[in-house]
Amino acid sequence: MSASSSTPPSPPPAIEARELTKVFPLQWSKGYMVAVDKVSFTVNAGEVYGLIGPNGSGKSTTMKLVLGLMAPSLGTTKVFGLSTSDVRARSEIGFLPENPYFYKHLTGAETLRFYGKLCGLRGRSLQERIGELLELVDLEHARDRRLAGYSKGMLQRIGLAQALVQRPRLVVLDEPTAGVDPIGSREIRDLILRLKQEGISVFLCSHLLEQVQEVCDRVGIIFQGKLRREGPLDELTAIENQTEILLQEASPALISKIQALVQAEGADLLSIGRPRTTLERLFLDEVERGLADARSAGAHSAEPSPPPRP
Amino acid sequence: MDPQPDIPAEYHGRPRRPLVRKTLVILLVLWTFGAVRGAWETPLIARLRGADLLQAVPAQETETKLGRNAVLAILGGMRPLMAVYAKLSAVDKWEIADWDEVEKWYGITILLQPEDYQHRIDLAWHCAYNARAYYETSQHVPSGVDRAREMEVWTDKGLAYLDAAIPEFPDRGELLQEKAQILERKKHDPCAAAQTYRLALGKKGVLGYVERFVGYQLAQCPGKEQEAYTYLKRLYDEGEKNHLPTLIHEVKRLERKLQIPLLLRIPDPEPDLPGTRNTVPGLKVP
Amino acid sequence: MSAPNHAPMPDRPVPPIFSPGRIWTLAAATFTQLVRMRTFYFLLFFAVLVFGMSNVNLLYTAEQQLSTIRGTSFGAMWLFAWLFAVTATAVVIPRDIEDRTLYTILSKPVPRVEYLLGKFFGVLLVITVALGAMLLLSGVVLEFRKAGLIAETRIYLEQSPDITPADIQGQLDAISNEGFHPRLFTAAWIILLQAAVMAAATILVSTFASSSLFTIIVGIAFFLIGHGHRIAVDYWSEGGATNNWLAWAAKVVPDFHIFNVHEKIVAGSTAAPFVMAEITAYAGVYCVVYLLLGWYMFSDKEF
Ligand SMILES: Nc1ncnc2c1ncn2[C@@H]1O[C@H](COP(=O)(O)OP(=O)(O)O)[C@@H](O)[C@H]1O
Ligand SMILES: [Mg+2]
Repeated sequence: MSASSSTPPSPPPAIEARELTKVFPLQWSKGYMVAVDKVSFTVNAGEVYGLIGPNGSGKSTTMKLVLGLMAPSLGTTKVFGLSTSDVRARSEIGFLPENPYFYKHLTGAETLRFYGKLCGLRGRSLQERIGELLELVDLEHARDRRLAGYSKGMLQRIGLAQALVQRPRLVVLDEPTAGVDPIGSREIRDLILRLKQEGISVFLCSHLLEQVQEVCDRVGIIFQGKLRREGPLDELTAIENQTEILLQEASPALISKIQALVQAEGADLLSIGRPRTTLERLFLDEVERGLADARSAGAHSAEPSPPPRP
Repeated sequence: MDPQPDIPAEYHGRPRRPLVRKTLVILLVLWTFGAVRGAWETPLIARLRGADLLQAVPAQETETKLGRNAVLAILGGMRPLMAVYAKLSAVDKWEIADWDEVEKWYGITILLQPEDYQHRIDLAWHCAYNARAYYETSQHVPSGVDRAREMEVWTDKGLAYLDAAIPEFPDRGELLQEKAQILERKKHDPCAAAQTYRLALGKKGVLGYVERFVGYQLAQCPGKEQEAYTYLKRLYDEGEKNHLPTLIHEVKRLERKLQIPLLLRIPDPEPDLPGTRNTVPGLKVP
Repeated sequence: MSAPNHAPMPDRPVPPIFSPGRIWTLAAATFTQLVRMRTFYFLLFFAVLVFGMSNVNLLYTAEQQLSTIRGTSFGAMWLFAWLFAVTATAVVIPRDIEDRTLYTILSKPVPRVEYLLGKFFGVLLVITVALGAMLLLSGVVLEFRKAGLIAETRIYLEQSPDITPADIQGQLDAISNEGFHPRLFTAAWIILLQAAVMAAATILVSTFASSSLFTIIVGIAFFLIGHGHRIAVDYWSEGGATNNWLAWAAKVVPDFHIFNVHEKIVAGSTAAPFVMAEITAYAGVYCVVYLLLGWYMFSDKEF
């Protein structure tokens, strides 16, 4: 045996997407549209990864490719090192689709029982799991109510519970907070953070940047099917030729001293305050750059939907 | 692989539209399945027809055959429902004595359920009894209509429907029995009636009394008295169960007519029993 | 290379490739889904029809009254079964797609063939329960009516002095034979078999189709062709070789002629157990072929 066998193998990444591409033929014309264009990214085990981009930029399509609900035109995707067509891979994934509706005639508990049974859970362990999950998503009070009477936020939460039923190591959430009121999205964000604490990898997408910013370790910015920027949140939002000095209890005298020193050294003091860019700013920059690229190249035949108004 | 002519080469990958290819594969499999299952299907259908489990279509002119077959095939299990509808429509027309319509709706009923001989009997009964009675007694018959002629026309129609149906159901006795009854009651032709009752004997659906009816009609047929006497006497001798009022009455009448020696005659019936004419059981005349 | 990286989690058993339990879970969900769509209201209509028929007193003989009740109730059962098989199957899958329930189901470790089988058996379960209820109802009505007719006929016949007790018994036996009989179970079974074939065929159609309406129309056309084309082929093949291509092309479409056996059974014929087994196998082969083709189409369908 080789010497390397003594070191424990690093766990395989939760998602490893290489050159993922999805080309849709257009229905009534001979054209095509590239919904996802050679997207490569990695979601490490235990990480929360956010994919952001305006509507129609290819987020949901990327997720379906990762889940194996669609076959990529090109490229590969692996979940914990397994192909997604492998049932073993799918028992490691929980999925919450965009705007889900479940069987309206089922109650919250019945919904979880249904999905639990599909995952092979039975009897007492299933019963206990249902209790745990309802507690986790704070729906114990609605346990025996039909989903027809659930609010949007409750539906998203039962959807999240459904995704978690077989204790997957990866959850894929498509716009988990879309259409949910601020309090509801707060609860969902807290849930995502709890999952992270438990070591579950999360792959989510959103067009609501603020929320991604709060929970994600790393983000990818996707626009017109292309992954524009990718990286840890801190790195992406840091401005490289700027430095921030954070002081506490600084007297005005100290500040004027620093100002003088800066001037003496030939640097510019830009501002005193919060110098970071926001993810929102970064995002809009990328969208603008993407649109400029598209204008100059005229590459795709299909019109993308316009970016959201800031 | 499906061609992907419109997509730049850098995006060429898996075939993007397997639909056409898959449709062709599916059609091919369905065709092969169709070709292979024939070897099972054809003998199975023949066996089912042999076991009286599938409708074997009686030989007819092609036009009727196609018409009937198409109805049989396409309506499938709906036929009983449609037939009930057609029959109720016929009953409706019967109530207003529109005999042509009754005939038409029964025609549809029979088209829908050619295998149900009872519809043929119903139709004959409507013609020979109800329509006939209408022309005989109704005040609504327009003046100028030749009542006697219409009565005969409708009676003959009834008989004609039965004559058409009898070869289609060679094993059923009910049709012959119905025909014999019309001959007996409406045509007053006991000789033909006796012969027809006799044809019915031993067939499906024929009960014991028909055996006696043969004798009763023979007894009315001029020139057949001796044959009738022998026939009825044999039934009488079979035992107590046949010692019915009509039978005794007829035997005694024939004994007198044929001047059978007193010693060979049957004993007198009990005086209080009336000599009834035969009645047809199971017939509910509404 | 390093195998441990690719091993599933040690504490998680590998889910079975094929699991009747999962199919049952999906079938039961489909069953409740359909029941919630108020499909059993059809039974009310059926009850009205059967009770109505049993009170229509315009017909000829007692036997005929009973056979009419039988014919109409089995006609309604037949119509319900195949039409429901087409419409319910056509509605159930697109609805899952629309609600995105399909995504959540298929992203669980559920092979697609199990999803299709779950829908198939769910629809059949509803049809089985409905047919059972209708069979029970028509049986009760038949026996009830039979008792009444026997009593009436006995009184009527006993008035006639010219009729022997044996004749009366013969007549009453004839009426009795027209009541409920265990052979009617076999007729209902054949109706169910035809519905199963239609459900499988509709699953195949719906893997092509994008709308329920299209699936329903094609499914009904499929049924009519399956019952009608034999006649067309027979008719034209009498004309000689000119139309052989028609018979050749007709091999693509099904032949449902054999499922008409139920009519004769309702009318009075009995099918031997081996005949029933053979027809069941015949229907089974149809179902397997259609479901396999549906699976072939569905296996890489994208939503
Ligand atoms: N099944 C499909 N057929 C054709 N085009 C599709 C299909 N699914 C998505 N698209 C197109 O792909 C693009 C990306 O869609 P999607 O991934 O849903 O975007 P997002 O989730 O980011 O809003 C859109 O322009 C959409 O119209
Ligand atoms: Mg989306």
